Amino acid sequence: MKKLLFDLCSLGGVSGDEGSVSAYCAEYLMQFSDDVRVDCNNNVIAAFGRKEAERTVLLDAHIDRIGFVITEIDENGFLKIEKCGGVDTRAALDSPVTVHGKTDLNGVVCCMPPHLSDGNEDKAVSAEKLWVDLGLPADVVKNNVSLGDSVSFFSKPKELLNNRITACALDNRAGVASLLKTAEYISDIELNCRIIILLSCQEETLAAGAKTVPFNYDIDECISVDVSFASQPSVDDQYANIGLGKGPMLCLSPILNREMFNKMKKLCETNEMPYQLEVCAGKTGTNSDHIALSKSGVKTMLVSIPERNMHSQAETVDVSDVEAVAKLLSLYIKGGKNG
Amino acid sequence: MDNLDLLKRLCETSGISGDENRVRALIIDEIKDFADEYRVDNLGNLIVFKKGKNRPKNKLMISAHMDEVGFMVTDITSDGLLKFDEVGGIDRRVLPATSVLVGDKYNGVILNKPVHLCDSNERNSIPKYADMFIDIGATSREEALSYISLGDSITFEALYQDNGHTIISKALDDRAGCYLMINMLKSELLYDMYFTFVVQEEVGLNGAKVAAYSVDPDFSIVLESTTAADIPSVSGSKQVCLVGDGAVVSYMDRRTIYDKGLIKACQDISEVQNIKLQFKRAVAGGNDAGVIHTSRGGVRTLAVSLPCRYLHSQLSLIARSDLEHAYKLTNILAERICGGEV
Repeated sequence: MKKLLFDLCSLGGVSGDEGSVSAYCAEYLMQFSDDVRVDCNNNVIAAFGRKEAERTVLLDAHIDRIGFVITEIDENGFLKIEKCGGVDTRAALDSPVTVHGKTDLNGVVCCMPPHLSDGNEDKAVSAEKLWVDLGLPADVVKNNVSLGDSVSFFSKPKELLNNRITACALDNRAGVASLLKTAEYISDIELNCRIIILLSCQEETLAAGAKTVPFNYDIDECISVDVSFASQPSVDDQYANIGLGKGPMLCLSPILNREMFNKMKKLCETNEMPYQLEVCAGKTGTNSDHIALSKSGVKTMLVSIPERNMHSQAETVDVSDVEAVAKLLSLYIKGGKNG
Repeated sequence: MDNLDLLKRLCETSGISGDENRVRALIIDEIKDFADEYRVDNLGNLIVFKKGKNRPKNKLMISAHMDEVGFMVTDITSDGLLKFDEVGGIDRRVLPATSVLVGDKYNGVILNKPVHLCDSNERNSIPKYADMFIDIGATSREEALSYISLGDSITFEALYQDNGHTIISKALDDRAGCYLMINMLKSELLYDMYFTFVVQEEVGLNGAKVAAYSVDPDFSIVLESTTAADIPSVSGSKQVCLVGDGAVVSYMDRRTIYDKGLIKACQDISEVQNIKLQFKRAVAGGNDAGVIHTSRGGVRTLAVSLPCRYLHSQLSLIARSDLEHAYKLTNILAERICGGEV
């Protein structure tokens, strides 16, 4: 699982440019399903079980990651970038980035050295002032990079103590990994329902994948998997009690289905699997807000992997939580089989 | 210079001010077969003497510092998170969510509160050290203490890259200077020279002060990486110097007014030998020259620097061509000094 997560987090796939990671996941899923396709927006869709089954369950995780797009190339080959998704620009200065041009190129977000400080050390630099330096001559840059190319944060995926890992893009490659593992778990059992695994594009921008793909199916239930907040200093209120390695977070929110929630909770208790509760009194801010409203409505549930430092290069999860989501989803699907 | 792998190893080695032993060990290993004498002094400076073909008219000390900026562990919370403070000058704006190496062994990240949970003020603010934490994955103070101790060194994670034009890495300030000196030591010298690989530049030029006293030179060349701000949104003299425009010398910085005879010699060498040379266009920064030129009864001193973007961060940047120009310039300048031609 750790290797799978490291592989996934090493791929690009900024919203709207998911080709590389979609291809990787499609190939992975072909081991377990002979009905895998990638649509025009780089959504990956894999089907399991009989087409004519009475019940269709959608398992969703978004495949895109936050990043930037290039909006200007100056005469010296520096690249002006703008946010694509909710990038935390406080963490941007001096960050390693990968520019997804004709080939992937490594660069750094420009910053000023302390020797020439403007004295505003307490203030984050605004998003409009972010430029990338590839350290290449301008003509080389212009031959390899175009306006609109995507840029992602780069960080070497790493192990921390206690089965924890840190990497950028764990939002939501952690969710993607849990669904790839779920595919493996359900591939050798006879299903009495149809399972569609959707690795959806563009969640970080406007949820284009979650809005469009479910339209092609008659879905009874959906389980969406994403990351959510774990405790860390100055994260207060309900998230102060969410821990890494303490199990998947099951969400309660007006738009989410309570029966599914109760069933999932009971499954955890019966199988002695730890879980944590998340309450979103308004919107969940995930794909589930959109999928629940697809066609004539879909019963929807949100399962989240606790994460620290969301939307930065230092996203951190506990691998056991990712594994637990895969196990829980498989149990849920098998539970359907037994009525 | 075709041994850039050495520069990579120098940059990847952890060695904040006061904890330079790994860097020193690497350098000793590289130079021991090429030096006539070397010793480590009470502060940890590595002082090397190499004989040349001739005895010099002037005693020359070439110096570069081994230390890099970084952090030290100051405390550990009950949740196992590390409190830390900077060693050397670092702009906190480069820190949120940065990867670090603790005690030369354990991966860590600087925590960053999720932007979704920040109010508008927090979104635009960089926390003080008091509100920053490093996460190594430990879940309690006791657990963290079983791996690390208070006072342990913390460096930026090493991410060295060379694209054929530029090199991006932590610690180029001043492992690039160390690299040039090691290359000189490995070459045939025309004159006897002293080379000092000094400690604690980043916290007050401490190593160079005592090394200059011990060596007692007539002249000194300091090899440094100096601040280049040739990036968009900075124009004119505020850019200070330009990456790719050659070796940098300066008339004056915050610590030193440089020797005019040596500056003149550099200009002359640059013209005759077709070596790219540029002058710093601002009075900024300072380096070991500050304490060397006032050592004992005074030492005629010049800093030859590499223009370096993003100094004191995880990803500083120099041009390969500037390394070449600085190396050639330093060699010829050293010969002129030793030969009494300045």
